[in-house]
This record gives sequence, structure tokens and C-alpha cells, in this order.
Amino acid sequence: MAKREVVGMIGLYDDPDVLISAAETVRDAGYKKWDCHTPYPVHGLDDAMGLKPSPVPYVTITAGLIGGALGMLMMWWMSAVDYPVRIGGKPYFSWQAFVPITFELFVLFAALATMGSMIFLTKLGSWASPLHDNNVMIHVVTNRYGVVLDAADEQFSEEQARALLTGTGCQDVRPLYAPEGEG
Amino acid sequence: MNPPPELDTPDAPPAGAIRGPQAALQQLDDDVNAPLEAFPTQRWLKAFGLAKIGATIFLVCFVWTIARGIGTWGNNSPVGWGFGITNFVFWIGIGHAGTLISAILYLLRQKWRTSIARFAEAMTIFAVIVALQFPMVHTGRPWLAAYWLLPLPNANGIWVNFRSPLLWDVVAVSTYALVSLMFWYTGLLPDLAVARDRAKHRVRKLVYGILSLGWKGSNRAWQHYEKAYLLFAGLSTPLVLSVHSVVSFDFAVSVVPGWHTTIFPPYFVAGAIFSGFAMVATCIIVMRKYFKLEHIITIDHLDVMNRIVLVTSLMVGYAYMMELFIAWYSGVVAERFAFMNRAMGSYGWAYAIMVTCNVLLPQLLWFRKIRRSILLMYPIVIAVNIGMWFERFVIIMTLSRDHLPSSWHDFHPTWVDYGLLVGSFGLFFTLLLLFCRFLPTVAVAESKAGMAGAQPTGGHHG
Amino acid sequence: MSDATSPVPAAAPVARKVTSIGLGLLAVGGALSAWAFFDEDLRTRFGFGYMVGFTFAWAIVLGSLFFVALQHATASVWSVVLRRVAEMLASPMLILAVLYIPLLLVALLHPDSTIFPWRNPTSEMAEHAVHVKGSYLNETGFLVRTALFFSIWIFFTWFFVRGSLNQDGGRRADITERLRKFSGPFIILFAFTATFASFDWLMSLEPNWFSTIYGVYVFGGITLSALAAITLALSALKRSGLIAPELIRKDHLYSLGGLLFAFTCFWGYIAFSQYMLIWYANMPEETIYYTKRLSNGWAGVTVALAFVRFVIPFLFLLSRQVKTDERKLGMISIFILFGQLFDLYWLVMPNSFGEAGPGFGIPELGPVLFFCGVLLVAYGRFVRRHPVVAMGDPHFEASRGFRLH
Repeated sequence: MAKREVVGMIGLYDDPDVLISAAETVRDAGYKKWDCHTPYPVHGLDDAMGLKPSPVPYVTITAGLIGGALGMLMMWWMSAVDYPVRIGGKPYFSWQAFVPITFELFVLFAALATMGSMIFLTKLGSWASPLHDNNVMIHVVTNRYGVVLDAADEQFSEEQARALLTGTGCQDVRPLYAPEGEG
Repeated sequence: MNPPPELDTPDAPPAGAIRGPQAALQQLDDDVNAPLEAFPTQRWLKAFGLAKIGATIFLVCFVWTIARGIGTWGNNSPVGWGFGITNFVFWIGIGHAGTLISAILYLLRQKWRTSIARFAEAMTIFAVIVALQFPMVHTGRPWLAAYWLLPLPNANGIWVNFRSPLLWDVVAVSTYALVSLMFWYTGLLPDLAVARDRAKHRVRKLVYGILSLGWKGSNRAWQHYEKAYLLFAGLSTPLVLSVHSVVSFDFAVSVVPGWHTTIFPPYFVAGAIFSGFAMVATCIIVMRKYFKLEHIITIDHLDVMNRIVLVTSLMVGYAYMMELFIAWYSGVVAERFAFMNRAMGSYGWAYAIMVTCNVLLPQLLWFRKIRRSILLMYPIVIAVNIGMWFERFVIIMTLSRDHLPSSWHDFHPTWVDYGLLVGSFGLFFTLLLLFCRFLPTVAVAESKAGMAGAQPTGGHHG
Repeated sequence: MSDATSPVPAAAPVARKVTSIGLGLLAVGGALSAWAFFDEDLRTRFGFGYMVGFTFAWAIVLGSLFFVALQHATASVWSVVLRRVAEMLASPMLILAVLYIPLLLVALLHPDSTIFPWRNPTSEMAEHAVHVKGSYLNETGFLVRTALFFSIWIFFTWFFVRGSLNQDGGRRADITERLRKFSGPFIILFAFTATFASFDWLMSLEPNWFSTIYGVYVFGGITLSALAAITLALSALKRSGLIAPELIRKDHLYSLGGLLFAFTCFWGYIAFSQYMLIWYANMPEETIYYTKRLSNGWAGVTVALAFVRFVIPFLFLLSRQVKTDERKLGMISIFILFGQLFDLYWLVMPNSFGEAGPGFGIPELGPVLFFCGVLLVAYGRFVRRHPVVAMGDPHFEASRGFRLH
């Protein structure tokens, strides 16, 4: 059997404190292509990894404002311009009655944009992962924490990655191989 | 200088010990996933069978109504709205507890919510689905309803009436259904990934794999995920208030005495949360016992839920009293009559049920013993379910004595009305039982995040 | 957590400063009020002005009492370090009760007073109101109810504030237990007394008009002004060194900011609901309220109210950064308190100026200054006599360490 290609190195941790310090170490070592995998969000890991704040809120508020404005504009055009009908003695453009729908459309657009941007930014919809191929995914979604160094990073070499992870106090460092047939 | 540990995790193990809570995390996954992975039991099958009978009744009555027309209902003039709107408002209200638990309590950082949030959110979605059936069937031709409900271009060139609260309802409820679904699904993603990775069978792995959208627990994903989740909570909170406010507008913008009253929006919202919590308690008490999740959904959780039932009961009681007082204080003859008639007229019995179930009985929840005894609390939450259905019924029966005494007429429900009411429960429980069988009923990832020892002690600063 | 710094340093200089500012305001406001009162032409205007000043102070004091009871009812830990501030704000309830007497003299017991139109009906409409609801709107009923409201509030102020002060000596959990037990029943009493007080004192200024949501609307204002006053007092006490800076974390500020934001939205929701429903149904017995406030120059005030009370604080408080910045939070609190004053002006003053359009002068300014002075003097006295941190609460340490995550 030919030696399979190493696509990354994972260190598995059992203690969230060690995970945080490991993430800090990898961050300070200058790694670019790496990630942490945890079964639930671990507080302080974003800072430890040096991640920039998520842009999702800006997408949400922008989409919400657009949705609300479009809603009001639509109701104005349909009720007061295109086919005005006098109903209940109310003015054609009765903003009071248009507030509820404007608000709902604000929320609808904002929520759709939140979902969309979240899926886009988290790259959901891509199923393949070396963690699956090497049977470690079950650990990091259940009860352990993984730090994964990607072989695509320019610093990466098998020895260096292993040393870096072992140096963070990790007892369980495993290489991640490409799926059979591709290596 | 180390900041003090988490308030709810005061007993950090001594230094040197392995801090990782691995066993407990694993146990939680095992417990929650057990019902998904085991073959359905006899009891589940029996319950499901019963629910399916109900759903069938619903389907039959639905088709019958479409085939024969609304004349098969007891609606008449002046009671143009009968069971249909009562059931609609009832079911929409049930849904509100789920959003309250998933969104408002999340923003308030009430950690106890995590164990019941998923279940309550699922109830929200199913309740909204059930609620939507009533306006749909009431249109008579549901497959054409989009033309009457949405601003679609049509041959007449006319648009829907945006000044109508019924149209606000369409937009509010469909927005609510969509946003709740997205919120719920977002919360499910990490738990579906767990189900995927635990799955032994290829088909299971494939289905949960697709549903989980390839969730990998990556922190670069968690970062956006958490932000999005918070935003969903922030959006759902005003949304849920607006939905039942809009439902209340259906009545309150009119000039019908007993309907047109300014307290309706907050009163309906409080009533919705009230009935919703009662329904969550009704279902979850059975669910936790049946799935042996008593150690995850504990008596403390039920206690807190009972407190919320009590508080919202008081709010509803306040609104009942305000309505009565202001009807008198207004000096408007029609208003005074409407309320006298509501309490003492031909539907006085319904009013009595409403007050007893919604205001009087829940007062028993002041006692800690009752709040913490399944046997004693269960009749109370059942009573609240009944009382809140009757609240909407009482409001709608105001129509039976309108401005024109010559047209006064009582409402007599037909078998189709009863069938749709009973059947709607069947539909609801069918969906709920399917959910319990196929999806994780407890928000696992979020529960894990709150477990003792699951978070860093904060000794490191990045 | 260094224990070297005692959480409560000497109070004297701060208390003196607060008291002297308060006395200054009290003197100026009192003089202006007296001047307006003794001028026959201005007396009615003064009565309305006094109503605004009084209800402004009342909202802060009663709202703070509600806040205290709510913290006990929910067994909140986060708020323990700042609960004493709310207790301080609630403490002058007895003084307020005494200061209600001048209002009774001007508005209710003075034979020619037209402030409450149901007393001396001058129009057919007012006569109709007396005819249909005279058994509620009459002097005896009004006096009895007001006395009842104040007795309940004074008793519970004493109950909650004294109980907390008694804990200062040692961590007596039994007191916390007792306060918690009575907090629920008090909140029910609060809901009804505050509602009917708002009916009697404010809604009955227009005796023909009615709205079931009115009590909720006033409740929104009460809670908002209490929260703003707590935030403001907290930041002032912290800056003056009376509350050790490390006691109040960003997490506490963020919680207060979040509550301010939530209740700003709540007010907007309630105000819009009331307006929209009345606008939509378009029934004369209800629309009189808004036509009065949308004509003769009042439309500008109404639109300004929407901005002052909702739009501006909403946009400010949207940002997380503002909610954790003590200085900005203090500024927005002042603005929210101004909003409360503006709201009360909008509720009351159309009855004073009516078709003449909005106005403002000495009879309006005097009572407001006077009541601000009264509150400051009372708070200065409290600071001199009691610690401003409830260190004796059994949950004090836990509250110090409160973290949002």
C-alpha cells in the first residue's frame, strides 16, 4: 500500500484551558490555514485564534433596512399610485396602516440575510472533510477539542506540525491522510 | 488575577485533576440520541396511531369543507367568524412560547432554557403550521389563495388591500413561520452533525449528513454561527411580539364593541405566551418521562415554567379587569352592554370557564409544592389550555350580539367544526411525535456549552 | 479582587455637593412656583405644571421601588451590587406623599379649579362624563384612592428599603427570604395602584376619553425613568468614588443598557398600538385625544415626542458599545429622563394650553426644578446616612463577579 498523502495534522485535547493556550500558540506561530473543532462554542477561542469579528450583523441590518424600505415603497406604489382604492375613509397612503407590514418585511429580509450570510461565511454545504476520512469527526462533535493544522499552510511540514502541537501539551496528535485512491 | 469562576459552575475541580468533562458530554449525546437510534416502542406507535387518527379526521373535515363550502360550518350572520378564527388564534398563540424560550430567554441569558428550547421551538413550528390551515381552508380554494393573500399581478390590475389587518396577518404569520424555521434549523445544525457521526447505517448517515449541511464544528464556523444565532434571537423577539399584536389587530381595529380596545396587543401577547407555556408543559411532562430525560429536563425547569404561567396568568387577569373597568368607565352604552353580555349573556358559561381556568386556577401555582408536583401541576396546565381556547371563543362570540338586535343569533358549531378542532390536535401531535422520533429533542451543543467544566476558567488572556 | 479598597469610602463631600445643588434647585423652583401660585392668572397653569413635576418625581420613585421588588421576585443576582441605588431612589416616597397635598389644594379642593374638568363641568361633554362615571370620578373617591395608593407605596418602600438596610450589619438570609416572599404580592398591588393612579391623576384630566392600555403606557414611562435614574445615579456615585469602580463591571452596565433599550422599544410599541388603533377605528369619543394633540401647533410636539422618546434613544442604544460605556450610558439616561418629562408634558399640557398651542414658562418650569431639587436633597441625605452598596446581601459576592458569559 502506497503511503497516503498527509493533508493536515490534528491535536486532540480534553481540557478547554489547554485548547485555548494551544490556539494561542498556533496563532503566535504565524499559522494561516488552521482551525479548531469543538462540539460547542468555547468562550474566548475567537480571541485565542485571532479571528476578526464576524461581519454578519452588518449584513443583517443592511438587508433589514432594505426590506423595510422596499415594503413601504411597494405599499405606497400599489395603494396610492398604481391602483388607488379608497377604503374605510383612509388616505391612499396611510402610513399608520403600513407600519406592521414594513416591520415584518424588515425582519424577514434581515433573517434571510442572516441565514444566507451565515451559510456563506461558514462554508456550509461542503460535506467533505479530512476529519471524516480519518474518523476523528465523531470526537470533535461529541466531547473533545481538535486543533487542525492544514498542510496547505506554507509553514506546514509533518515534523514541524507534530512538534508544535505536542509542545502545546497535546497527548494525542494524529496525522490526517487524504482519502484512499487520491493520494 | 483570576476573575471568579462562572456563577453556575462554582465547584471547579481541584488543580491537577483532569478538568475535561468528557464523560458527561458523551452521556448527554447518548441520552438525547437514544430515542433516535432505537426502534420505536409500542407506546410511541400507539401514540402515533392515535395522532394519525386525529390528523385523518382533520383531513376529512378539511376536504369536506373545500368540497361543500363554508356552509358546512356553523358560521352565520352575525357570527361570521366561528371556530375557524378561534382555532387559528389558539394555535398561533401556542407557538409563541417556543419563540419566547428560544429568543427572549436566550437574550436574557436564562441558562435553564437550553434543555427545553429545542422542543418548544419545534412546537412553535408545528403550531404555526396547524394555525395556517384555518385561514387556508377558510379561503375555500386554498390553491388560489396566493392571489388573494399576496400582492401578485393579476388580470384585474388591482392589488391586495394593505390597510387590512388580515393582510398584515398573512405577512406577519408567514414571516414568523419562516424565521422560526430558520432559527430552529440553525440551532439544529450542530446536533444533526452529532447524529450523523453517530449513525451506523448508511442511509441515516446520508440523511443526517445532508441535513447538517456538512457541519464540522470548526471554530471559524462557530464564530459566525453564534453571531447569527444571537441575531436570530434579536430579530425573533420583536417579531413574536408583533405577530400576536397583529393577530389582535384583526379584532381591535374594528368598531365592534368588546373588540375595539387599545389593550389588545399586549394582552394578546401575554395570553399567547401563557397558553404556549401551558402547552409546552403539557407536552414536555409526557415527553421527558417517556424518553427518560428527567435528569435533563428536571423538576426545576418545570418549576420555572410554572412561574411563567403564573406571571402571564396575572397579566391576562389584569387585562380582563381593565377591559371590564374601562367598558364601564367609557360610558359608551354599546361597550357596557358587550361586556355585560359577555359575562352574563348566552355565552356566560364560556366566560366563566375562561376566568376560572385562566385566572383563578393558576393562582394555585403560588405554592411551591404545587409547582413542583407533576400530579398537581398537570391539571392546572391542562385547564389553562382549555381556558385559553375559550378566551378566543368568548371574544369571537361577542359577534352574536351585534349592533342590530334583530340579527342577534347564537353560534351552533357543526360536526365539521368539532372535527377540525379535534383534528388539529391530531395534526399537531403527529408532527410532534415524528419530531421526537427523528430529531434531537434537546439542544445538545448549547447544553454542552453550559455544562460544568465545559468552558475555560478564564486563566488565559489572548 | 483586591480587598484593600473598601467598597464604600467616606460619603460626606459628595453628599454635601448633591444636597447643595438640590437645595439650590429647590429654592429657585420653589420661588418660581410660589410666584406662579400667587398670581391668580397663572394658578391653573401652575396646577398643571405641578402635576408634571410631581408625576416626574413619582415615576422615578415608584419605578425604582418596582425595580427593587422585581429583583427580589426574580431572585436576581446580577443586580445586587446596584440594588441599593434603586432603594435610595425609592426612599423619598413619604416626602412625595406630603408634596401631593399642594396638588390636592390647587386641583381638587380649590372650589373654582378646572384642572379636573369632572369637578366643575364647564362643558356639556364634561357634564356627560360626570353623569356616566360620577360614581368613580368624584372628590371623595379620588381622595380615598390616593390615600390608599400612597399608604401601600409608603409601607412597601419602608419594607424593602428598611429590610435591605438591616442586612448591612450581617448577611442575614432570613431578610432576603422575607423580602422575596412579599415581592410578588407587591408587584400585583403595584400594577393596580399605578394603573388607577394614572387613571385618576392623568387620564381623568380628559374625563370623556378612555383607553384600556393607558395604565400600561404609564407603566412603560415609570419603568423607563426608574432605569434611567438608576443608571445615572450609579454612574454619578461611581465617579464620585462612593461606589468602588471594580464593583460595577461592564456586564452590569450592559444589562442596564439592555433594559433601557428594551423598555424604549416597549414604550414605542405601546404608544404606537394605542395611536394606531384609535386612528384606525376613527371613533369620535376616542379620537378627541389625538386631534387635540395634532392640531393648534401640538402636532410638532407629538412628532417630537416620537423622536425624543423612541427614535433617538433607540438608535443610540442599538450599539453594544454605547451600552457598555458608562459616560455614554449616563448621557442617554439624562436624555431618557428628559423624554419622560416631555412625555408628561404631552400627556398633561394640552389641557392647560388647549387651543392656544404649546407653551412653556415659569409656571411650568418652577415645579419641575422644585421636584428635581426635592429628590436631590433627599438623595443627598440618604447618601450621608447609609451605604450606597448593599454589602450585607448574601449574594453580594456572587453579584460582584457577575459575567454575561
